[in-house]
Amino acid sequence: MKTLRSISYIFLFIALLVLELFIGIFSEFSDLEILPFLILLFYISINKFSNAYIPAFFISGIYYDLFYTSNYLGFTSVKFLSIGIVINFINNKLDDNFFSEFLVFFLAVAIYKFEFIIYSYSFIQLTIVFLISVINYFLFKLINITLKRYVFKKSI
Amino acid sequence: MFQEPKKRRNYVIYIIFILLSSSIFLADLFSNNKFSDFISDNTDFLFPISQEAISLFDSLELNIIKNKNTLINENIRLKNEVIELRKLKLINERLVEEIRSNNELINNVNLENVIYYKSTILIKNIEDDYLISGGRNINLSKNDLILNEEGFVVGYIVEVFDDHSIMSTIINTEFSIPGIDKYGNQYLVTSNREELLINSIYIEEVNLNIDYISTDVAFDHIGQFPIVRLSNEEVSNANNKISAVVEIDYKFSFDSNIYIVKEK
Repeated sequence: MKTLRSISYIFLFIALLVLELFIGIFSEFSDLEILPFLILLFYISINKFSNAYIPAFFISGIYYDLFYTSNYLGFTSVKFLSIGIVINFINNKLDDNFFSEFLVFFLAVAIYKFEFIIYSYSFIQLTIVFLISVINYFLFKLINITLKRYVFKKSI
Repeated sequence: MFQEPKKRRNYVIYIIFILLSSSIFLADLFSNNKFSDFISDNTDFLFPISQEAISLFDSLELNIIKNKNTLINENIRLKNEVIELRKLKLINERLVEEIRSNNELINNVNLENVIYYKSTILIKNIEDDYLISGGRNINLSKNDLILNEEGFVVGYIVEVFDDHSIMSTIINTEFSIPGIDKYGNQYLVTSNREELLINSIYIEEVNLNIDYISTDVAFDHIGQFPIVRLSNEEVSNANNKISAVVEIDYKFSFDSNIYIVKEK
């Protein structure tokens, strides 16, 4: 059962990763991107952090390195796993409020897009990263609210 | 009470997997990509994106328009005719556009001894590199030049897979290509995403009346293709160094006409 669950997580991660790349087609390669895969990474890192997701983090990174980038194999896995562990660690240390959660999300986007920041460091690029964080954080909050079942119970 | 040790155990396992990924990274680094090339060659069927899939997305918009027409128009026969005509019009427009871009390409570049493969942008990855159609199936290799519809170099190939490749473009900060002007002066053309930065690396004759900077066989390119036009730009000369900054006005899009150049 555990193996089946792990495999389903791997498929979910890869599907969302491919979806994220497909969304880029609709946005005509705009700088402001919607990042469903990062939202998933963030959601798991702060709400569902456990060992069960490690194979999914690891294999989706390997899959990405194999077909979508000129990076050396394993590079993206390190990035995904690092996002998971760093975000969970920092989130546990900070107070549970909107501002600190957004800051942690901004950090996650910064790690996710660190090549973009390092290679073309400028005020404009940082603004773009900030705007990407705002858009995706809003989506994250929407998904988070939808996924919390007790919201419906409360409304009843 | 049991939460803290469990969390620590989770962190330890995550770190172990980070170390495992790092080991794979190092193995691939020291084998000069052979490790990843071997796996990707044998599992290329796992790459789900093709030109057909992209075309499907492209036609999605047309289908939505069709559905709207169904609701609005009561006469089905007339509606079908309108849609058919619209499709033909779109096809016609695309063909006219393709002929125009091909003509521009022919005007700007030397066609002898080279083959032009028309390619399509498939997707953009997380690092902002573009994946394009065509790979080992059409004998592409690293550093093959990519031209736009006007014949200017807009990128080169950095990684080749079975049926797709990754290109470094003029809007990537890693973009770097040597070029030459009509006086034999050599330059390095780099990018900061918004502008192309041109700096001389070898001066044969100081003359600021530079029309084009082009690729050259001297740099292992297959011929002379323009990289940047400097005729209307400000070119400066200081300490026997020629330099210029040119704004990038080329936008990559899903419909971009790009051509990969190969030797015959």
